[in-house]
Amino acid sequence: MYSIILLEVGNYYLTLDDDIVEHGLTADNVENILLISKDKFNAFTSGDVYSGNTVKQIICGANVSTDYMYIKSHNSISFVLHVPSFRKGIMALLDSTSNDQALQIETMLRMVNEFRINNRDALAESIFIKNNVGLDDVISAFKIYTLSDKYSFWLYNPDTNIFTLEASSEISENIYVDEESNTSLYDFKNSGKMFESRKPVNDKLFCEVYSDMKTINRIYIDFKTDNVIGILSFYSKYENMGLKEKTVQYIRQILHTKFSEHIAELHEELIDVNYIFTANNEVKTVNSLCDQLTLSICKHLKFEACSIFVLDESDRLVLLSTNDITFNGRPNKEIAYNLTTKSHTCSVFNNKQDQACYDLSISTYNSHIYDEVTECPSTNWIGICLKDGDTPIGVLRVKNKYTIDTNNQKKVSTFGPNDIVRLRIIGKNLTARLMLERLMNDANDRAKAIEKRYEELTDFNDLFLHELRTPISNFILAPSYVIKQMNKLLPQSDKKQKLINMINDIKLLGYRLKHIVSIHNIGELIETCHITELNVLRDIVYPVYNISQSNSYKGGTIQLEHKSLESVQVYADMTLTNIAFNALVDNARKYSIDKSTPINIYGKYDRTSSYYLLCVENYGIDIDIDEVSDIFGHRFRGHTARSKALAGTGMGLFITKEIMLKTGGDVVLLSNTNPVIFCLKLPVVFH
Amino acid sequence: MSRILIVEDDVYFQEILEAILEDAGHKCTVEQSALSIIENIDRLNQYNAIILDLMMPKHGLLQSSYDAKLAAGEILYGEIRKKYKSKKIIIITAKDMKQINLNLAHDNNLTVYYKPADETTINKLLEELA
Repeated sequence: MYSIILLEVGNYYLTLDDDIVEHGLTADNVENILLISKDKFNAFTSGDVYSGNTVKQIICGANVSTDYMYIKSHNSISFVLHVPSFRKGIMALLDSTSNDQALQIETMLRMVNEFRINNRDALAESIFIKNNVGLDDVISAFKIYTLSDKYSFWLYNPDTNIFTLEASSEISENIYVDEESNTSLYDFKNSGKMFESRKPVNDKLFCEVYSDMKTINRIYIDFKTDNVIGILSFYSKYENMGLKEKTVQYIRQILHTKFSEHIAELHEELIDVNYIFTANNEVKTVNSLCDQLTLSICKHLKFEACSIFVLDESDRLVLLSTNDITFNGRPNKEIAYNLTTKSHTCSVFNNKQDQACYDLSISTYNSHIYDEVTECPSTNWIGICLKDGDTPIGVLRVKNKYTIDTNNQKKVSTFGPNDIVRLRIIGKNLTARLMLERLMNDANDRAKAIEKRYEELTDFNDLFLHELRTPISNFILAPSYVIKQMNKLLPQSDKKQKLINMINDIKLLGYRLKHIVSIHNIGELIETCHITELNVLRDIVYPVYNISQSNSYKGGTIQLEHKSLESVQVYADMTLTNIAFNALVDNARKYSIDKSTPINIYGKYDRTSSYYLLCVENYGIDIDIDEVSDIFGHRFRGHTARSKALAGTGMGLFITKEIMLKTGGDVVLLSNTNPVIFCLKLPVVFH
Repeated sequence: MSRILIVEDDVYFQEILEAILEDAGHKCTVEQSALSIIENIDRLNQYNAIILDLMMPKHGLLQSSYDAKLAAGEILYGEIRKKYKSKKIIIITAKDMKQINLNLAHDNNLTVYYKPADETTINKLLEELA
């Protein structure tokens, strides 16, 4: 009992027979088995009987030279033809002498199913079960599954507008093509088609290795990652050997999955490189970080060389770190590119654009100012512009993407779009680190400058205070001594008393100076307060009035309302209250524009009579209502004071407030418009 | 009445201090150079108390033979204490307490006043010397 099964494959029948199927036939080992055009069976009718020779001639042609031994060996047998109607896609040639054709058909259907199952299992195993299955393996498995003879897989790089060959059944010299090349890849990419099946056109790539092919099945795959597009071509030596849409979809789906896995692997490599930025087990200087980075990029991303250049103060790109097969680190000898040099590196920097070169040997931009040492000839190159915002600060560059072949030999390969994407990510991290370093250096420089300034100020302060302390002692002690001697030597008189009063004023001035130089800050000044009973006129007003009236208030007058000031006793620290009151009088002088109107000093009790209000009233610059709430703030200066460039530190009223609150009183603004009135609120002594 | 040596380089302060102390009945000698006192340290025997400024000019040996960070008065204090363990010393200084390079904690015959000196300072000083 003999039979031949013809399995429909597109426009062809694939010959199977029982012997082959029983030997575990799959599409993988039917390479030498014929695909027979359906046209050859047009004349056949179901149920007709044909001699073995006739069948042989139909299958193999009249001029029989095939080694299709199965048919040869059965020349003498007649076959009965069963047309596909009995089971879609299958045609059977059965032994016409057999009595049990139904059994034969049943057996053959089992064989067909086994073939189909075996074929799918083989594909599944190639794609999913085997370890370390790459894109190349997957596409190769599909080539077998689709009964194709050759394949190629090209990735389009949107950054460079270049197609690079990622996988191929043939060895090709063209591993990248550009738009200028004579290739139909660009036409297909731009056509908007997702699939085409046609006769190959006579382009550059076709001539080279696919010239014996009669059909090309081309699949467009958008990987939806970093704008990467793939074009997968299956070639067949048979004409009109098209793929079914369902098969195309399946291939596309599997490639998507495999590409995602591939991206994940690339991502793992990127993580390994980026670990250098995030590892916190050691504090790295930027130099050591760059040394590790160039090394790591070469190791994980598989480039033979990597270098980092940064812009120096002389507008040159200086080599910061490099890694090649001979060296890692910063060379002892300075290596720099002048920005005007025609070179890939400068072009990347000047154009602020990442660039790539697929063949350095023919590039006119290959300046050879610095050539990293590589095992393979310098071939391809990527330069990433390190940019802070829109400002370029350096260039990260790599050379010679490579793979390791089955003989463990290094071989230059083309880089893919993802290499550029990964280098960009690394470049961004590197830029951030370089900028951080700059910021830290700037901050350190500023801190050093501030520290130096602080030391100068401290030295000045120490010297100033020291030089003042002894003279102030004289200010305080000399008047006492002079008065004592005057009392001994001179008779009592009004004139003598006036002199004594004046000398006492000098002493009081000395005490105020003492207080100021004895403390280093307001906090200390206030902490030293000593509250006693004071007479407002004698102890607070006169010491300030005498000095202000006689020395400072040029052209103006200060008017005391004696009646309201006399005989009032309050609780206060004399020196501190003198400082506070002096601040109010000093402000009144400063902001009185019309000197003919005197400053009025008077006092009154508040409603409860618990406090006495010592008021300073002047006519001059109003205080804006918006500024009233801030007037006692630290270093606050009203806009009028600022706009008229009036002298002042903004500390007077702040210190006054602090002093008055500490000594149980307060300072208040009774009127912010003319007359402007500030009052010291002093606790009254009740007897 | 006490015999008091005033070691102070500020002429005005010297004069006032001397006048006040003499007015209180003390006999004062004024000296401006720490070095000359060190060179004649034996003559300190005649004084009941020494009023000492710390920040004074450093000349000659004071510069070359002592710790550079020590002020002239600090060097002098050390030299006096080597010979006179219990001599009364009153320091009146413009230095802050934390700026003084001396360990004064266990010196029972020492009083330190800080400038600017005022009437309270002088009253305490006079009480101490009485």
